[in-house]
Amino acid sequence: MPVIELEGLRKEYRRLRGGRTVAVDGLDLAVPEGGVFGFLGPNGAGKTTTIRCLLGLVAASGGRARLLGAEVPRGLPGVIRRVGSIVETPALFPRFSGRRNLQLLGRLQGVGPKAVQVVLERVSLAERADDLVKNYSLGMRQRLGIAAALLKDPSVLILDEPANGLDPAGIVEVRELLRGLGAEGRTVFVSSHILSEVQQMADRVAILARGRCVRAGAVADVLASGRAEGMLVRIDDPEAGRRALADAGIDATLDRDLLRVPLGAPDAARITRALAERGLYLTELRPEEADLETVFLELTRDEGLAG
Amino acid sequence: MMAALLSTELLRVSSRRLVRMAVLAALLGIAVTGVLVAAHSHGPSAQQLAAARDAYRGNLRQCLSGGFIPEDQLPTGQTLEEFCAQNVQLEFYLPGTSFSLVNLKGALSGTAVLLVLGGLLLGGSLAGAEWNAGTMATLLTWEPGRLRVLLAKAIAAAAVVMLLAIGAETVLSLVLWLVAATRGMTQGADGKWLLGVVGLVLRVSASAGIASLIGLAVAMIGRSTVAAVAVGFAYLGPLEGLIRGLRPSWQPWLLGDNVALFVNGRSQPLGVYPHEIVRTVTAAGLVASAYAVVLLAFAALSFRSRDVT
Repeated sequence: MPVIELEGLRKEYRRLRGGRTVAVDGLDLAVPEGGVFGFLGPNGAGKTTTIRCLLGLVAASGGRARLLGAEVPRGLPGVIRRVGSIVETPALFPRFSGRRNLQLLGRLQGVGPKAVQVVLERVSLAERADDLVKNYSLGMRQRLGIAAALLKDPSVLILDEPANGLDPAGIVEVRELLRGLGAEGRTVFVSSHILSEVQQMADRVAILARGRCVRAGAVADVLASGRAEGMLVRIDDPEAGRRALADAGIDATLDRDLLRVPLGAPDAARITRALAERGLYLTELRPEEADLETVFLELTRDEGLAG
Repeated sequence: MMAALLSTELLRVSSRRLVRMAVLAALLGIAVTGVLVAAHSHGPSAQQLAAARDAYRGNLRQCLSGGFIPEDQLPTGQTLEEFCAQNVQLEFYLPGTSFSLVNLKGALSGTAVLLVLGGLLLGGSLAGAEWNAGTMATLLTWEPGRLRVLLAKAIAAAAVVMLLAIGAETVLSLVLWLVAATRGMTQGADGKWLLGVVGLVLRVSASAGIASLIGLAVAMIGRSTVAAVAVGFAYLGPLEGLIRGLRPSWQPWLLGDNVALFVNGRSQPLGVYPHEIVRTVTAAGLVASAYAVVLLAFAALSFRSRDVT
């Protein structure tokens, strides 16, 4: 049974001056149990609204949402104990310390001070736990939000842009943390715009555009659906290499210190021969792979959203 | 779950800086009041006291025999004994420089306005701060039952405000009792008087509690502290005055009038003849509570149906 199930989820916001804005437009999605699920989409695609619907913070205008098998929002009280979440920037009381904030939240579900200390250590915030939250940097607030999400020892984590505001070391730390949580059998549903991060940690992804899911599946399958094809050539003198290939009828383009050649792997011999005939010897030749960013941009461009 | 939610709310309310500042301000105000009253109070001499007692007894006898007012002209709802107890008191016949403990009720009633407005502000701030900081969404991801959340907040706000009010009134009473015992007089402060003081303290704290619920409800509807403060002050200030002037027959149903009567502890007519209504203390308390209940019901409807973004 999917941990998160959305069927035709729709959310419209009424504008003050009349009219409506459709934030989520008939979204279908099924998130299986365990692992990290990346939820991607450009700004305004409906990621945060979807998460708010899932957590019962906003009422869906149509469709259904189920979390851990429970209908949202009616069944939410029965499963909320097993769901940890962050929605946008974690909102906690600025004039309380980080520890105090977590203790107050923990009391709601009978979570004691020991568990608070454990999660603070897990997000590397133990040393600053007694400082007031108003003195925290954005990254520290984000860590505290993650700590709050982990406090219930949840089986599902729903995290909206958890790497927001983190420095590079923090991003790596969070990546490792989320991968670890996914490997423990928990379901980590994470929305992010840092596509390289998602590619490194997610097992499955869904790409959202204009409130609809335009691609979903295992990361490898989504990448395979990308249009990138060709070979990348590394050579000491790329410009000379480009001219040599052009003379051989191969239209290569220069991409920083690499040559991008629009030929498939079976034509690799043509490339090496054309270069060798001019006395140019390559140091690297590999098939070009589509990354998540490429696929994402292609899909959202198809929807008229990129850029 | 409700108990955990309530204990969390109580803990959160008591941890708030605004609450600590209110406690400090109240203690400071009481200390200043005590010093000022003590500085201006000088106990009566034995002769002054004896003369005052004679005058008091004579006037009380005369009042009870109907010498001050015919029974058919007594204020509505008041007996002759109540009239005389109110209008013939020992301290009336003593030199004005002595602080008398029986005047404590006046001092306690005087603080009611501050405590009611403080309750309104505190109740509004408890809910408003959650909306301002965005922590309502965080809380709802831990406890999605919105009515439970609202109920816990309302109970916590009223309980804390009432406790603070009782605490402030008790400390003020103790300070003024000390002043009266050392530099004034305590004559007339008997068991019946003490019961009256206890009743007054409870009514003042209940009024502050009702005000906190009204503040909380308005802040939940307007989703900000400013909404609660602005609506509260606008209503109690110009709006009630306007209604009283333009629609005198509505006066028996105005919040301010009923709270004042409830604190005062004396049944009296409200409104203008022929629409005046003799309002009892209990009825005044119920009318004031009804304001809180109706506003909380609106707050619950709004909280349940609106998105938390």
